[in-house]
Amino acid sequence: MCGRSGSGKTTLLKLLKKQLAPYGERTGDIFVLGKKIEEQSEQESVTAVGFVMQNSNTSIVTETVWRELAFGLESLGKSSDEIRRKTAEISVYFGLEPIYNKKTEYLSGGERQIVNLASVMLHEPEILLLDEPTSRLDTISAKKLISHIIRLNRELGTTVIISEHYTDDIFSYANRVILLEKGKLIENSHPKHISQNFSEIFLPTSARIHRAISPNANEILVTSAEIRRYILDNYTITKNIMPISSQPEQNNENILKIRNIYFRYSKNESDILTNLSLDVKKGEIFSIIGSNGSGKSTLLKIILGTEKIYSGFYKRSKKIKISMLPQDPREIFFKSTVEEDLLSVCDNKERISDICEFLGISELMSRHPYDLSGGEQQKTALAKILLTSPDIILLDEPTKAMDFESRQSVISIIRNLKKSGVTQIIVTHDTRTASECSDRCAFLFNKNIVSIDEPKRFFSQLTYFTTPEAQIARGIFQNAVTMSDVVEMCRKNNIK
Amino acid sequence: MIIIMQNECAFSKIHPLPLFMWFVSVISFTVLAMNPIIVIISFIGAVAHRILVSKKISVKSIIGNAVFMMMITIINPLFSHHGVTELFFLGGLPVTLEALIFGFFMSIVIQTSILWCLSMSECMTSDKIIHLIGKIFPKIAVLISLILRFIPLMKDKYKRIIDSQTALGEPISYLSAFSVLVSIFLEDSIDTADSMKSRGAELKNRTNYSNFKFSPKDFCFLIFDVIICAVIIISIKKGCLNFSFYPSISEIPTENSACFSYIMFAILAFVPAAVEVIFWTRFVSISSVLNIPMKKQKH
Repeated sequence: MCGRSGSGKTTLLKLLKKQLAPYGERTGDIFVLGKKIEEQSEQESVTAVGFVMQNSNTSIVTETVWRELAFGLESLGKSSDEIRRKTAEISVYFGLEPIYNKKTEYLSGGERQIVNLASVMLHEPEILLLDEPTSRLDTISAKKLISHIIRLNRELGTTVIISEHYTDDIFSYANRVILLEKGKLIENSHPKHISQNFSEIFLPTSARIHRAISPNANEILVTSAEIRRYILDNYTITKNIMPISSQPEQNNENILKIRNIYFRYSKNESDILTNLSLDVKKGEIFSIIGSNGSGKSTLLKIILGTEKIYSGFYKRSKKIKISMLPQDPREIFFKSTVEEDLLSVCDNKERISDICEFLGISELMSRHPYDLSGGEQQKTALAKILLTSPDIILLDEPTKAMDFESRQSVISIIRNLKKSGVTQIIVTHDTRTASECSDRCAFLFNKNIVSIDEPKRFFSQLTYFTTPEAQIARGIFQNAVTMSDVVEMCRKNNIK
Repeated sequence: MIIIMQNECAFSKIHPLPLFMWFVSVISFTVLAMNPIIVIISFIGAVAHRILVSKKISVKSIIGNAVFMMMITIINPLFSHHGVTELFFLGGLPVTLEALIFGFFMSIVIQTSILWCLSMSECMTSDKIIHLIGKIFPKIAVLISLILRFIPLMKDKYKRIIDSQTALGEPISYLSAFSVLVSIFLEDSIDTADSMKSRGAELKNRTNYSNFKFSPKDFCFLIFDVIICAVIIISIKKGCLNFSFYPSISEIPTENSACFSYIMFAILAFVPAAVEVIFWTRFVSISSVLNIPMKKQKH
């Protein structure tokens, strides 16, 4: 199920599950397994339909993994022996054995979402509903979760309805694709037979590239392998290296200097960062990528100065003002309207309206910050931070859980901010964001930075933890890591 | 990934029900029997278990505990003036030998109870408490589990809010940070409630599952505990263990029945230390024979 934020995807999914149906007026009928939803008993609805939510953290109820798994079965009044057998079985199936006794607070986002899926699957539902389950995960964890879902569908025949913004991983497995727009169903077909007016932002990367290089093709290419074959079959590749636009030499002045730092949260825990060194130049956009829980956010906190290193050199100059956009923008909203909130950091109304115009949030001024969509919240928080006129902005996952358009607009804001000379450090697990907006990228792995490079070289050197576009261009076009790069390279070469 | 190494306690492997019964019985005898022999046995048992579990003795904690005990010993005679053996007068009031001894006795009782409670908090983890409650009130068990989940979550969020506020360069207001925390928490709880509802939290006939299995060993331990408790309770009822501090210190009961009770209580009080010793000697001998590197269990 595709659709922009606010198109009614979540509402539709929730209507299919009796316990979650939103309050309001409904006309028409919903049939689940041949029965009107009103006639379903509570028990039937609980067991027949499983629901996995977007936020893996808030949907976990209990404090340990095994208790979380047992929760649903306890509700059904199963005996201890049965629960023991079933949780054991499901743990083996989903590979949860190593974390079975762990506290849920110590799990990574990917692990949490698999625990959520497993605990829903313990009811053995006929229908599995998933509301943007991968939107907060890094690429690798997302692929792992999707592969579990596909396996359930193929092995157990579970009907799966999944809503997603980025369809790369699931499009090829889908039997049907539906598109919602403003609460209306406007497309309902097999992925291979999607109509031409299907908005391209919901297509997988392969199909988008295909459409861009041959606009008249009817066929939809749903996997990276297909588009690779298409390019190799249809083009005589003569030019295969994407030139890296050498940027005008900026001032090489380092605004941040970090040397051999070590960090851990407390004496009895293991190191989060070891022997890490880093330079950030003035005015650049510096991205740090890494999987969930690799210590990226911790590094930001160290730069910000709220966490102290125990060894190494890092000194924050008092002249440099550093601000941070937190992962959850709600953390910095204190007032009941956006306007009041912005006025609390800056009383210059002209400046506020300038910045709001720049970010495109002028019409949100009278709204409550909590009523905004994820993208709008992110921009409002950014406005608040810009009002403090910082020299360095730290952005913690600025495009997390956003749809295509919100993400694109955040990326263009980041690029525009560069023009005003602000240094930006972004940490993200979204390789696309990093590839599209940064001047330099770094890869944080095993408590240290393992490589730093210009994004095109950086992502084309990686094979697995990289952008889908780079995976498509691997071995065909060197240094092509974004959609426009790949399309540009195709155009440079002759069609056979 | 955060792995917290904890002191491993072999005694805690016993099923929560007999374990809880054991702690309750030992602590209540220590506090209620008012018999010096029982208290001293209990004290030695507790110290032995603490040392075996933590595998180190810190001078700092010994001094700290000694000072604490001395304070109680000294304070009691200053306020209690019962007893017949006057040592000296302080501000016109007598300081008696009996009150001093009673103070010392009470200091050991309090110290012993603290040590046993420490062991208990290490052995009776939240899992076990939920298990005991959940058998009778499954819904309360869920509630406890929810709270245990939310406390670390809220602590973490609170710190994040403070950090984000610092990042804005505003003066930190703990009150407004707390109000933001509550708002976020309430909003997120809607999701958690949905997740609970969709997995049937509203259905009747909830059961409670736990990882603990009641084995024959646990049953034997429970019976053993009950028998010893019965023996000691009978001797207390019969007055065999009676001991008084006021007005003058009575003789320590040493009849056969009293001695039998002492031995029984000693067996009870030294169970945790014995379990620890048996576990470690077995474990060490096996690993040294097979040349396996010793691994601490991760919790």
